[in-house]
Amino acid sequence: MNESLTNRQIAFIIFGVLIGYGVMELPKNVAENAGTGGWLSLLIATAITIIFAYMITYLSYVYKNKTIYEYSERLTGKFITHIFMIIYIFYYFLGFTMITRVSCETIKLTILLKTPIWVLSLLFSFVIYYAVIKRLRVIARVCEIYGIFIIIAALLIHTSLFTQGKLINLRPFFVLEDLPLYFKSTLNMIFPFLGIEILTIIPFAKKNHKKVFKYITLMIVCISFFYIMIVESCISVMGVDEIVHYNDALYATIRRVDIPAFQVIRRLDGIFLIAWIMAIFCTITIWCYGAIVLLSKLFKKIHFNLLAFIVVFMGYIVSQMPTTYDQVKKVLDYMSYYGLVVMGIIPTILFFITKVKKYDKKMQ
Amino acid sequence: MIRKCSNLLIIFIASLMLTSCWDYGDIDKKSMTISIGIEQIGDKVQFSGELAKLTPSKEGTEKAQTAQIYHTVSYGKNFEDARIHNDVINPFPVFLGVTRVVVFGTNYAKKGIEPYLNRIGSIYDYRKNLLSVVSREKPKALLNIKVEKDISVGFLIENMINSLANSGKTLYPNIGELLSNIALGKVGYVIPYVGIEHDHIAYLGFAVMKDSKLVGMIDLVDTDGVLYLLAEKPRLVEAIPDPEKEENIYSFRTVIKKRKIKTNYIDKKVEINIDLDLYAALQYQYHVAPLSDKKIKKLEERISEKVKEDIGSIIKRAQKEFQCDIFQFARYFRAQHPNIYKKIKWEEAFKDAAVNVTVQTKIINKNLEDPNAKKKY
Repeated sequence: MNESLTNRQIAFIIFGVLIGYGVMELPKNVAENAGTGGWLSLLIATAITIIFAYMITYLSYVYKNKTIYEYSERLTGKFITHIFMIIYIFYYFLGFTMITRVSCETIKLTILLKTPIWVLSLLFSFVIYYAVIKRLRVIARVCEIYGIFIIIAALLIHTSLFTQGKLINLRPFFVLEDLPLYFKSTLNMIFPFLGIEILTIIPFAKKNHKKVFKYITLMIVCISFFYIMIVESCISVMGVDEIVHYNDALYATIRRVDIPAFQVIRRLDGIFLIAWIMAIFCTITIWCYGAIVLLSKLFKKIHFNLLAFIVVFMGYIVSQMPTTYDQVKKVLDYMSYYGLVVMGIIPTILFFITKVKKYDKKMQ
Repeated sequence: MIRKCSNLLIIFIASLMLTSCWDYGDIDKKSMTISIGIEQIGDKVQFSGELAKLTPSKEGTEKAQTAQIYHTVSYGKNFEDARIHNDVINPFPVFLGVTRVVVFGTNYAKKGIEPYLNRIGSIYDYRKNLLSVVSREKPKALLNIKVEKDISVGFLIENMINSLANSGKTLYPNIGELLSNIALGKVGYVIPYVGIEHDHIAYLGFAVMKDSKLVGMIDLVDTDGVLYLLAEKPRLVEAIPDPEKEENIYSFRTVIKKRKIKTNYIDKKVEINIDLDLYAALQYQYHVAPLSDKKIKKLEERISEKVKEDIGSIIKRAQKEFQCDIFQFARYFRAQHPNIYKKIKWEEAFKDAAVNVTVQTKIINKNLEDPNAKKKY
């Protein structure tokens, strides 16, 4: 099946996978780790992410029409590739289940107070299953359409938040003495960028010429500014001292604001929740697709749709396993470190092998 | 075959979903709380409520309409206890999403309103941009007043404070802002103070809160200084006597053109510099008299002096009488000197801070009147 994507679709897949549950607590994490100078930490993290993204994109660019499974096998042999694949599959699977669960928990605690978690998870599972069996091109198209809606909604919401916030809450913008703190907190700021490793399972076609690097870099820079906009607008309303107390910092900020000029949509939480659930849907679908597509490489004889059903069904069961919200949060915290391995270490190893063995030149 | 079945399944699920929530309940099956009063009576917390009684409309449609207001009172040793007692006297589950105002009694306010603000901040039902006020009279008495000007006491207070705030004559600090001030720590804040005057509910000024405890009041006539410092767009009226003829009074409407607050730390002492640029528009004179350029300059100086005095005196009261930074100058100091802010005790530093107020006024118009017109006869 031809699963090649256009450059724009690849960029929007990155947008879809990055913008998701993480934005809900992003302002809290930034304020907690770097205070009002958090924007600088985010920019440093962006620069690091762009380096990783470049390496992953380079691999996909060099090995056209191949995913990490194929080019890793060529570079490191079957045994190591299988280990890598298990790491990736487990990572995507865990990400898919835990993000589903934490999103359902948040939905339950914020809007659907009486709805059981299992019902929400089940609903997500149905929709995700339907999306993943339609394969990558459809997911990419959904990301494109949803992405545009999310961007428009976010611009509306955060511009409105800025009008209600106070500039004094955003200051000091930068404290020279806190420079080591900004660098130290960069590690925490990389976590919101976890997800770009999804590029390893997107096969690039010939039509994805060199411009794909520009598209991906530009999208990461845009996402970085998107994050800064979210963080700064929330801090401007709540202040850096209070926002640290809210795990749902973004939603808590939006609930604080009431804009009479908007009349029927004077409360922005309705628009926000629609856009946020759309973003979550994109994120979870892509993570789930990642796990299925890599599994299908290992179990070539099993039909993709059946494999998708097994993964989604297992994912649903695993997502119900944690008994408390804190347990889910703990798993996600550990997953952040796990993410550094799959986003940073493995692609770096493969990138350097390609460079050292000069595969990039041989492939051209 | 499978495709046909899946289509049927989609139609079935869609039709199931279109039936809406299975636990749907009509709006008249909820006890809609419009206002809540909290007071300390002895060792118990008193919740007094103003609730909307909704009944179906006469046409027999499903739509509900507001018929009248009823009142409830409950007591408990804490909020949870009082809430249980409140729940057992209501016909339907209490819904707080439409609450307009939370009224704190002075006894409870003196004890500290922070626990209840945190309750509002965390309980799902409550709007986070809810208005809170302190009442001179017991909240129960205030909420029981029969109002003709509005639907209920809650709506009246909210509309009154809202319209005054929109015209720059008071502040509308919502619960979210108060929680931000509490989180900042080291600072106080003001909230509207209301009471019953000649059988009417009236806005009386500001209640001053230190550590979220009521420590004093600022009378309505003394609120100008606070508004010049804290209101987003204050529009105040200044009555300035004629410099040459005391009985003639010039009525000016002032607006802020620029407000700049700069802080310093000199010789281990905090210095707060407030620069205000005002625009003043002459509304009218009590007795029409010529207005020369020289007199305009003098009037500008008088307005500046008056505003400077208003601001200076309220800051002095905050430093000496209330002993807390109700203007949140701490935010400016922290923004401008973050490292020093970490080292000093702001509460103490504010009390001894040197405050310099500079006010520049410009009279921009005379309301299209020409007091210098020459008479022919």
